[in-house]
Amino acid sequence: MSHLQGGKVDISQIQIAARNSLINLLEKRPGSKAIVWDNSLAGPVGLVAQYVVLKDYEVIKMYPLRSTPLPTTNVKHIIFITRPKLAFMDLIAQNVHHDSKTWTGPKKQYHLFFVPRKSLLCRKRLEHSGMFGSLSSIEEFKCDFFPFDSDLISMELPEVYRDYYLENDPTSLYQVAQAIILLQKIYGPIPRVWGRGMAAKQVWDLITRLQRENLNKDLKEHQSSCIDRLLIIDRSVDLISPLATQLTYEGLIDEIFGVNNTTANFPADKFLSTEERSTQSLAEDKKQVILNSGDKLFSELRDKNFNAVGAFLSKQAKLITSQLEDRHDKTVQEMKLFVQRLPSMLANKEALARHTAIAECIKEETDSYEFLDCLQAEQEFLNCIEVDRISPFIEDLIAQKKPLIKVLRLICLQCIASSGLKPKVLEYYKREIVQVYGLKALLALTNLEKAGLLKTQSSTRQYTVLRKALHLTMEDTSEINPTDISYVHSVYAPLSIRLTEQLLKSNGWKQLQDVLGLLPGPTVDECLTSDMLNDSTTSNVVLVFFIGGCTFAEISALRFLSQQEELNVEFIIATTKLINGDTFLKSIISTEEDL
Amino acid sequence: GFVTESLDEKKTHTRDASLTSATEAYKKARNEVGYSICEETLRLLKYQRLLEDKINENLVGKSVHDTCKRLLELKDYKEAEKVRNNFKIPEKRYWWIRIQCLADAGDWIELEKF
Repeated sequence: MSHLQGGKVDISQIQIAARNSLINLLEKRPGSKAIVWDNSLAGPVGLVAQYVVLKDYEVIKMYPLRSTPLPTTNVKHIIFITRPKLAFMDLIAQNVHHDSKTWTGPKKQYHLFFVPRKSLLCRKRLEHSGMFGSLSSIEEFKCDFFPFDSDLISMELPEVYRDYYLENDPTSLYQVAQAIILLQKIYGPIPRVWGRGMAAKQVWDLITRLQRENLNKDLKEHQSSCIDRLLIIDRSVDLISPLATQLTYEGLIDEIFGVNNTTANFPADKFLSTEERSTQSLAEDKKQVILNSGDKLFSELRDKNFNAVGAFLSKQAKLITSQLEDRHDKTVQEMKLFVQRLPSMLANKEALARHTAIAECIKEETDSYEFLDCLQAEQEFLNCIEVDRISPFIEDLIAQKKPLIKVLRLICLQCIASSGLKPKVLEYYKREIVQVYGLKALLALTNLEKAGLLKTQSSTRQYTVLRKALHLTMEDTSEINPTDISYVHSVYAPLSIRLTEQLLKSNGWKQLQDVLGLLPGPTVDECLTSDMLNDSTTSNVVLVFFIGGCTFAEISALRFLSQQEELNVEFIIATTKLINGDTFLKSIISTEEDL
Repeated sequence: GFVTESLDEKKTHTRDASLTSATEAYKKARNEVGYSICEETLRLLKYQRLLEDKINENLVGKSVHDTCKRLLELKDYKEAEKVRNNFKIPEKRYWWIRIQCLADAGDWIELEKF
């Protein structure tokens, strides 16, 4: 898995550890196996152990966990692999009950592997259902992180923000704390820690407590560390960035087509040549593309503003064409070299065709009036233009009954930009939305209010001040040759990353005192090494941990910073989930039944 | 505020009763917007049941906007006007619905008149 290596911190270690944990569990149960996955896991686990690997351990069938009975399979073991959620326990109980009743062959064994940890509540639920005794074993498949790339890992927990800020349930923060401890076990203790926000503080307190409890067990104080600094960013500190439309190549792919587990699906017909289009049947109407740094061209494209992508692609095209045509008037020796390089050239050509097709799909969307108008409205809000009034643009979106999520996303953005909506404005939006989308939309609005995304105006104008102090909106920055992180949204520089930039420049929160008062939650600032000198000189790997998710645009902005010489840092990015405005809001407005 | 959540979610089963209690809860919580929205929904339900007898079609569960749109599609302009007045649909949005309906029906002659 070469795409996971390359940085100073070898991410493939996480993958290997997780894979070994699973293989170990499978090996303990000799004989044929069927795995039943909770749907949210089947995709991400593929990043740790692909199906071919599992096959070596006699896994012959895979099923999604559903309420319908399992298909009859002649295997020795049926293994359920799920997140510790109560609803899944009921499904498992149903499945086991039905399967053991209808099965007449040799006795099967049922197992349950929790990812990443057991839960007492789930166990009780199983006991309650009466199926607890039918399970031969309950284990933990310790997989906290799913490795996405050489600088990116995700816990794939979509509801962390919702759990904590809407339901007041800190369970997932415990999981985050455990995950950070795990990272320290693999890569060594991190000497310098910063953080901001309620959740960040709570996670840090948990880490300190858990480590104190385990002090005797794994005392590795003197182990040298690969990661020098940790910055914990609580999503609640910056709710603006996920709401703004991402304008980087990878960000737009996510906004328009959705990226899940480094994979995206595109309309297939765009990837066929004209002849193929007429001959091939439309059996497969989706083309699946894996997007990671294993694809060299993609790793060069992903962080660019989309307006720079076209030019870059055509330059590559010219390069490849000239390379391929450069085979005349050659000596035998040169010809031999050419033939050797031919396969890699052809592979490059294929990658180019693929990304040109993807770029065309994106362009179709970004050229539409709908997209451009929306972007304009967004950028006006971010520049604090007309934020105090009812937006005629939003009004029209509602009147045309455009997707509710788009409308809410813009309203939330306006709300933050105006540091809370005028009561009259909020009331008007609410009434209009319920009249058009029905009463169910009221629940969505209520959830957004509880989660702090919608509110009425308070006396302080946080955003206005932050915008000035941190230069959140920049005029005249180049999208082609960016000089500032604001290129990722064309106008707006993500607050989260601006904070990171400032923090690293001044090596601490001190210079940011004026700004900090405007951000919610407490600050974490710990120096765990007695050796202060060590802290400021050589160290330059920074782990940025987003609690509540981060966007591809934020990641691109961090990568941009790491290329700046003055900072001299390398980032490892960890998040609870990759998000964009739509997926983030959906996780908040969905009702219990949708989850 | 919290009470209403639970009540609202049950609305699909026992609509009127839980809506009434939601209305009450909003009133107690002095949440005027919530109160009037729930009250309006109750009014809408009653009105939709009446209408259903008239046009022989399932309307319950539709929003004010969609109800009005359906009436316009059926070219029941009198009833649509009534919805507009009773539920205070803003001028601008009402015309959006009208234009959309005409466009959907391909009625270009009527559209020309705008």
